[in-house]
Amino acid sequence: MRKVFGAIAVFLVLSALGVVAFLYSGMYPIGATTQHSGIIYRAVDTLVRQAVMESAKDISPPGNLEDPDLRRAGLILYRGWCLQCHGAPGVAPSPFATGMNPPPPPLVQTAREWQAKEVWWVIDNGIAMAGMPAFRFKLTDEEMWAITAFVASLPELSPAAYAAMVKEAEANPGFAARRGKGGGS
Amino acid sequence: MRGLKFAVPALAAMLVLPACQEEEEARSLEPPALVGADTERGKLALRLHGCTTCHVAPGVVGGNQRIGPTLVGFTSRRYVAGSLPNTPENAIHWIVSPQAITPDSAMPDMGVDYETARDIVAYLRSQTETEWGSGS
Repeated sequence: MRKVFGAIAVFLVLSALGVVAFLYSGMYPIGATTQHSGIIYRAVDTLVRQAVMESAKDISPPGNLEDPDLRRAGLILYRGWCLQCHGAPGVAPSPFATGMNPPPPPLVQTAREWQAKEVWWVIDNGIAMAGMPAFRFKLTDEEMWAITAFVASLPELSPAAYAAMVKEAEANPGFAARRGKGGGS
Repeated sequence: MRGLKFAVPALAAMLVLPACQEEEEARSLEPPALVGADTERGKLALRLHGCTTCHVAPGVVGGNQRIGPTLVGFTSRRYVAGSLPNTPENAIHWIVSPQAITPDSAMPDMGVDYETARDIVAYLRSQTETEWGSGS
C-alpha cells in the first residue's frame, strides 16, 4: 500500500515539474494567429456555455423585451458600445475586432441559441479570457436590458430593416441619447 | 565530335522540357486568376478577416457558425452571392465588395483587398473535403 502511495506521489511531483517546465519553456504558440486546437476550442466553448447558463439561471427580465421603444433605445446603445466588435446585420465590425482570437461573434446566432437573461449576464459580467468586457459600472441594469432586447430582435432583423431602424432611431433617440456616450460611433 | 552536335541540343531539351511541362501542368490545374496565389495566407486570412465568425470553413477550428453558408466543399458550389457563377473572378469580386453586388446582403464589406481575396479563394478551392466526408 505504501509503495502505491509512493508511486502516486512521485508521479504527481513529476507532473507538477513537467507543467512548470512547460510554462517556462516559452514553447506555447501564444500569438492570436495560431488557432486553438479542436479539443481546446470545444472544451472552452462548453465551459463558457455551462457557466453562463448556471450563473444566469435566477435572473428574470424586468419587463417586456419586445417593447419597440426599449429595442430602439437598445439599438442606440448597441451602436455605441457593441458594434465595433460584433458588427450588425450587413455591417462589419471595426477592422481590429476580426484580428482577435477568439473573434467576437456576430450576435444573430447568439440571439437564437442563448436566452435573454444569459445575454444580459454576459453584458454585465463579461467573459474572462475571451475579450468580452464586463459593462458593470459602465451601463445601468436598465441600459443592459435595452441592449439585450435589441440583441434578442436580431434574428428578425434584415440588413435593410436594420438600416431603417438606425435612421429612425437617430431621429428620435429617446432616453438612450443621454447615455450613448463613450462607445464610439 | 559528331556526337556532341546532337548531345548539346538534347541536353538543352532535357533541361528545358521538364520545366515547360511543369508550367503547363500548373496552368491546366489552376484557373488563370489564381496562378501564384498563396493558399496558406488565404487560410489565415479566413480567420483574421472574420470570415469564420459567420462561415464554417475547411481546416479552421470553430463552432457551428451558420450565419453564412458553409465554405466546406466550396469548389462544388455553383453560385456565389446567390446568382453569380462560382468562378474564381466572381468569388474574389464578391469577397472584396459584397455590398456592391448585393446591397441588401447580410455579408458586410470586411475590408479584404483583391490579393487577399484571391488567396482565400485559392485556399477554398484547394480543399477537397466535402460536407459528405473527405475526398474529391
